[in-house]
Amino acid sequence: MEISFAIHTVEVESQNAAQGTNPVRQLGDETQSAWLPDPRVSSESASHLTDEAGFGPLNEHDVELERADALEWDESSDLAYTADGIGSLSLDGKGIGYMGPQSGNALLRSLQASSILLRNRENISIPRISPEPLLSEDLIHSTTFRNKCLDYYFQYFSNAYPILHEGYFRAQYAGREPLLDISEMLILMIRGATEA
Amino acid sequence: MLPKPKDGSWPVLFNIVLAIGAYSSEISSQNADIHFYRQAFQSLSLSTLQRGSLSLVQALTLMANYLQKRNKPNSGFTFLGLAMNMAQGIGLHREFSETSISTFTMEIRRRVWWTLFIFDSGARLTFGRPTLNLTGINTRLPRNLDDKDLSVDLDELPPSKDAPTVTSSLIWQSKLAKLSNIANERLLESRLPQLATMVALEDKILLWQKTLPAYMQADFYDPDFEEFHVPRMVLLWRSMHIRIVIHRPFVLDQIRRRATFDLSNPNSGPSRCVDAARECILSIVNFWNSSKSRHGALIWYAFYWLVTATFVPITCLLYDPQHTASSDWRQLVEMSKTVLDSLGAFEVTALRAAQIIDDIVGKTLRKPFQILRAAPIFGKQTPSTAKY
Repeated sequence: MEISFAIHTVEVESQNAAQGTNPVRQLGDETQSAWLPDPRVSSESASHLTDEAGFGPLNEHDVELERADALEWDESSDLAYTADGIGSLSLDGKGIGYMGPQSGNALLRSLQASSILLRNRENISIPRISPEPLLSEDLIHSTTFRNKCLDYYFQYFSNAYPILHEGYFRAQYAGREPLLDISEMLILMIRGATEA
Repeated sequence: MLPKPKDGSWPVLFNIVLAIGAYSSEISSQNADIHFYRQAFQSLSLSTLQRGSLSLVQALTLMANYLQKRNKPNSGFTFLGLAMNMAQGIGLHREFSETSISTFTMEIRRRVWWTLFIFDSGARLTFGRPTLNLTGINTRLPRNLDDKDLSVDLDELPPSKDAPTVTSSLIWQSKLAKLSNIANERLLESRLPQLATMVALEDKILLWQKTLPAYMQADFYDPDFEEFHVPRMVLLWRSMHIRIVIHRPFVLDQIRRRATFDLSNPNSGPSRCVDAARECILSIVNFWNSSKSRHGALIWYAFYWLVTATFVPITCLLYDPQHTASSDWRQLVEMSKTVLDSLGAFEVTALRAAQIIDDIVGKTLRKPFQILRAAPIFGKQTPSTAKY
């Protein structure tokens, strides 16, 4: 019993070493879809490893060598931010979550790892501006201002991302009938006129 | 009577719409969006998240996009996941027959699904996270129609128009997103993909660009459709950004191997990367300098892709400041910096980007010939490498 378990473990481990996969695959289960090989141990980077041992830092390893606890983030504060929405401006890589190889942040890491770029550039002052509204409270709370912002939404955002239908949404907002087909509108108007 | 939804989504949706409106406009730097976002955020409760509806999906999708733009990328990404799973829960990824749903509602659902899809695809590429390989989607692309072409009591969808509409950008960005997802997968599978694969992908993107309708091309101009000029440019810049990212691994590979940059072959990986970057920089810079538009929706995308593109000549300059093409690179970086400084007046993250770039290459730009020579580097060829 113990011997067969040991053999099984060795078999699974050598499979993992060769393929770099997670050890959840059932032996002999060919119907399972092939797991993507771990990029760290892909055949291409394996040859890089042997060719370039001692040549310099290996940046594919550098990306995954980020400390896992440094990957956790807290974006709940309004005051200062460490991450940026374009995933490209974090020079120290802390608290920004996992940024994969095609991100701009990975490019920065890569340049730092190749010694093209120095790490931890102290002289960059990251603006710690607390983004508070610069308009008066009264103005922001006013209906006029809100209507203006609604107009802005349809003018500048919805013309690329039509996730809301303008007529429908405005009708909900105002609490009245949405736009009807033109013939129906005419019928309503005529009915209204004749009943008046 | 058109009631507001009663599942708790309305205050979230309504406020995030106002926030996005403020942030996308010419008053973006006044930060009024912060106020509306806080209202939206406070309206989101755990009970709301235990419900599923179209308006909730809309609200969560918009929240996700807003959070990313306001530099909370991971929060945004989490919200995208919420939206995506809820969307699948309400079957947004499937076509429904006319017997079970109105023509109007089905078309709105298509628009919502594909908007969520492109946001998701874009975020995953930006942050280098796995692509969603979704099977079982049969939702058709929406038709090229304006909102006023769709009324609640519509029997049949009118045919697509041959002119810019609010849906044009979405339709073509959805097609681009499918290519972007493939690129994302290749880049994740291997840190150095096959050049032939990536070249083929870029060619598909160039073909996508070529097959854009005339009214989506860069040189289209019609004053009646002025409001679609920016979305059109943003979409083209997005395609250039993908082309840069596709070929960037080859630039990094040359650096890793300490090889000389050989840009004599225009079809090599590094050449294609540099050429795409040049195209992108010139397009954004020229647009910014010739347009009067100064609103948030333009500024955010312009600065994002300008940063990505500019980092290519920056990387080249840092690696080989004496290269024969270095004056071209310097010129590109100078051009970008000027525009980034200008964008920085509106968008604080652009300012940060400008400062970082200035810090990294400011010295190279000002004094191109006074460079400290580094210690000898191992390898076949030893380009001079300056350390900053």
